[in-house]
Amino acid sequence: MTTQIIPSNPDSIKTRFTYSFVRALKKLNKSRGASVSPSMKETYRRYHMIRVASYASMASAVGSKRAWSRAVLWKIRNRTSHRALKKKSRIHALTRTKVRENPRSDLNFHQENDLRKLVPGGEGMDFCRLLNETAHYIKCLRTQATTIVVVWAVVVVGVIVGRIGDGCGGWVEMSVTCDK
Amino acid sequence: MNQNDPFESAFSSMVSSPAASNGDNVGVRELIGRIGNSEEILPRHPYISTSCYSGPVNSLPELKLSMLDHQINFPINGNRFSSSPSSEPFSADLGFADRAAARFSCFANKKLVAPRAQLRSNEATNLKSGKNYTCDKKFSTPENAEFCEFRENSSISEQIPGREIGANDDRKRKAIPRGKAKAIPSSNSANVSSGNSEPSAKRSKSNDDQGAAEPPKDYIHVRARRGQATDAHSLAERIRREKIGERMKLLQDLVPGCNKVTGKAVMLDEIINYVQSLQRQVEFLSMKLANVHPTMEINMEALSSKDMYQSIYQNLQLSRTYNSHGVIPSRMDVTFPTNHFDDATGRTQSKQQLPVNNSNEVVSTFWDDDLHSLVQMGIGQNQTQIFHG
Repeated sequence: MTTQIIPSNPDSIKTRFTYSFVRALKKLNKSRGASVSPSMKETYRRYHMIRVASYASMASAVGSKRAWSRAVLWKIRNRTSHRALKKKSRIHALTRTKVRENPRSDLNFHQENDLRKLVPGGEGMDFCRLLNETAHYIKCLRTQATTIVVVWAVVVVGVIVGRIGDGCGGWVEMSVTCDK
Repeated sequence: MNQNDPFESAFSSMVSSPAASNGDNVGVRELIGRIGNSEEILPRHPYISTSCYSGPVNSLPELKLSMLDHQINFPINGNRFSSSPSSEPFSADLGFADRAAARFSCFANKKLVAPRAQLRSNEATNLKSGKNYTCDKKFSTPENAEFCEFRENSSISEQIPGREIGANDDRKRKAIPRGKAKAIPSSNSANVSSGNSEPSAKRSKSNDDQGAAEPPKDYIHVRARRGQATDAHSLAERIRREKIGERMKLLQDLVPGCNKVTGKAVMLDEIINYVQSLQRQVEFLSMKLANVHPTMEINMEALSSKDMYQSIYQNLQLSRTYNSHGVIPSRMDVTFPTNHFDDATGRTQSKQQLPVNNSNEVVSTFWDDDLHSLVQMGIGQNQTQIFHG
């Protein structure tokens, strides 16, 4: 049906992410037994699992090189114990000392904190490192979003986009529906 | 053999003035004797045996240039260079022929100038270092040739007399006399020897100037600007500020629409908004995936893994050309409020009632406006023609 296509960069983050994400999706779908219209709760749980799967596959595609990927993987691996930790930390939040304050950037302290909360693992870094991690994180988030869109399109619509002939420059979509 | 005339004249001068009694001659011979066994230097010695050059000589000695090219064993043994009795039979140097040829080619186009026939003793020590020599095109006399060789030792000294320099060699020549006369540490000579003649001259000069001030590698050297404090703390702060500024510039390129924005605060706001919107997009997409109707999952299972990957790659490659900064318009609010979920489920659930064989309708109804634009952006196609096999 389709010719063999080798990804141009077999070892890029995008490729690795795609592989692991699709694999996770398949696993999820296998475990999803009933074809009855799922309850909201189940759908919610599924949504949650898919989201975690996407973050986890993204982080594992990046590897341990980045602080944010390490933080994500750590969070996912220690989810159960982490939840307990979070509860405890919420209790003690008021008594906890403030995050390391950078006297230089007092003006941007508020935003800095927000950024720290956004970027995983951003709590324990100085500002300069935080900016580094943010840049890489943004890049990875972007590839993640574009990839998931395509995965969704392939899964849901069964779209295989192939470029046929460069003359017209148009695209021809062929859907693959199997009558199984 | 017009070109070879200068060489031959040089040689002839060498040959013809064997007994030129300078004190230098003796020094030269001493040198030669001392370094007699150094292979790289050896081939040169016959040429530097004579210390004075009395100007172009018209008569041609029997020495031919071509001979030098072929011969490995330099015929020093007395025949032609009787002026150098102390020159021992030098062992063959395979590179010698090349060097000799190169050296002589240097001479070919230059006017010959009467050099001073002095060799400093320090150059003698430099001679001993036995490094590889690069051809120096600046020198046009055999005596200059030795300076040519010694140039990597930065021994080009001011003693080199003013020669008539070819027009193209002016700057080259001038660089050399400016070189320091004293022996240069070997690190500099190593530097110089690795380069070409002209840049190496300049490099040697600059190396000489900064030789002692070579910065250690493990420190980042920052130069204090005029009017700024040179305090250690303020320097470190300045470095950090510059680093942060650099990072902010990088982020500016990543985040779309930040080119006009100046100032850290506004930039940070933009960055935060962008990261939030990207995260929301991912959540929205995963929600969409979660709502996939089971029957539609046939697509997923029917395709083998490889096919799916391939199709995804295809799409990805094609979508790369449409790389948009944001896949979904940021107005998407995907904090998973139940009403939104109800909307989605309501819509999808209603669609789930539809018969599957009428996939066209199902497909079209699945495509909310947002998702439609989204997929268009992701796949980059406005007109979709779906064939069903």
